[in-house]
Amino acid sequence: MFTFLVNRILTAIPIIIIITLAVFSVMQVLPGDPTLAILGDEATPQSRAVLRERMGLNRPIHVQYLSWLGGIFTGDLGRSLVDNTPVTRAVGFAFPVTLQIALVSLFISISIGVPLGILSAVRRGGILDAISSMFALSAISIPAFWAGILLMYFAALQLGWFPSSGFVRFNEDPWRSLHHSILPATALALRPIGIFMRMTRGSMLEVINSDFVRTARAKGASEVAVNLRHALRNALIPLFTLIGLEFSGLMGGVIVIDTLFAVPGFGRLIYSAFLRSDFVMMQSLMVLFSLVVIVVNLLTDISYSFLDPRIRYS
Amino acid sequence: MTWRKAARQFMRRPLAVLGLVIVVLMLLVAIFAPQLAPHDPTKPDFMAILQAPSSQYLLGTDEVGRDLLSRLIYGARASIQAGLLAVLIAVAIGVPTGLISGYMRGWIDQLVIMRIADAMIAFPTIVLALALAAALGGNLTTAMLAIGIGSAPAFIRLARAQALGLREQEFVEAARALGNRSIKVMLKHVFPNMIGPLLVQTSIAIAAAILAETALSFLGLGVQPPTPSWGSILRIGTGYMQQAPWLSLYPGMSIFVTVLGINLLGDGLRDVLDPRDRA
Repeated sequence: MFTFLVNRILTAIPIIIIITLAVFSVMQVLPGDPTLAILGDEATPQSRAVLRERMGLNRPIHVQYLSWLGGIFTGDLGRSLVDNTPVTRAVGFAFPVTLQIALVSLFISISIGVPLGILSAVRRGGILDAISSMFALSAISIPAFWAGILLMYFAALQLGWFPSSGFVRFNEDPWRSLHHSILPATALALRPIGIFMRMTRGSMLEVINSDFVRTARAKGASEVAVNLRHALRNALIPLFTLIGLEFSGLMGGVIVIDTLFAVPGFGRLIYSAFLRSDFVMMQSLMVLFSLVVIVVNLLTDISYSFLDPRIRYS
Repeated sequence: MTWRKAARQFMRRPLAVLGLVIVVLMLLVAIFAPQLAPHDPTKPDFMAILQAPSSQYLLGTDEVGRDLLSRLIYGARASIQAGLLAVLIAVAIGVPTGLISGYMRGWIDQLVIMRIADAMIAFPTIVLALALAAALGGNLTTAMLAIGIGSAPAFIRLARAQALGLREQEFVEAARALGNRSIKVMLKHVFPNMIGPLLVQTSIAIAAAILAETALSFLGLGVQPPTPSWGSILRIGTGYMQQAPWLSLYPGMSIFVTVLGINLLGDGLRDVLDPRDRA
């Protein structure tokens, strides 16, 4: 188990290096001079030279890269070009918001997608199967931001069940905070609902026909027990890999959904950094976005190996 | 299985045929946009601002009085073009890389190609698009490039997995034993046998690419005004959600129906072409 953990964590290192290198190179070819962005167009050449020196822009490129990389691992992400606040502080504000929305979204997608998949598999070929399969395909085909617009229009503006925009922090008022996160989280959950439903249905169908399920049925276990205790338990194992894979899409979706619902999360942070040409902020956020995805994949892989011992030894 | 037999099986699936019909219709709309559009999609008419759907403007007008239906018809061009070209980029990067990587194996495959693919997967496509837009400017070309690069790892992985499996098959071994060069074995024996799964992945990727393009245009990173696109109409439409809900409803509906059609088609292709998921 220990070797598996170490190996799995070690494979993440080259990935992180590739990502930081790619992000750093892209940010090097950006048009415009960061000193102009900070000091404005009126700046004298002298003051710009002083700032270049202070920001370390005169150092060789590989030194700049290494010091930035070192900063990432020691929690120093640089300062915003626009308001000179530390990037870590902005991240500290935005991260809990995005984490909350991602978790609510994951909860919604699993609690709808998995039961629908079971129902579909158990009633294979029936009308319920047809309806939930079509629902799943529609959920995959709908653009998340349009689902958000529809939810906003009907559930917030017409019916008034939910707030249409803004956010309340969890530590300020947990109940209102959850209330605010439901619409954005639902919009983000649609695609995973469809993916999880189709995966659960597929692997349930495979497991239902296997010998151990037939044995369980033959020894007289009730239909519900056969489906839930024997079939589902084994059918759910691939779900963990899928959660990891879907997370990359979820982090991308957050950018659009944060913008639509005016949620002060990770998505809005990177999008406003982009709009304000705050490249220091962008550079660090891009790495953080992929770090989140990598860590989630690491966690799902590890939990996967706890559930299925075969993974550890292969 | 022969292609003819696959086509016959495909035509027996009503949902798959429905998907094919939707896709063909959307392609026709995109191609014949100038003939189909009842009004000029870019000409403002300040006497007809934010008009509700009527017999003159079937789907209403936008904030400067442009006909929504005409804009949606022209908008099909941007989305479909972006979807096709982005996936073409992904295929051009992903298939040769995965094929060679899986067939040759070795440390380049394990340590370089697969790690780069993993890194690309961890990088959300929209974040990549933001980075490229910052470096090269936000327009349809950078959006397509970002989506293409973002969709490439799926093709790398698929082509690699197929190549790994196929290289152990007897007919490939036989071709090698006859003294054929690797490149010839790959092109003549390995590649033709992975076209089925690749086609399935291509349809999935086109659907995802259209969703990504509309999301980017919604953020203002894709198609630039005044060229109409479904995503950018929605971007404006959300500002008029109360007065003119049709501006938020119909563009989203166009995206949804198009993507649903492609996904139905893709599911049908998977059922007849991809042996992995045949239950």
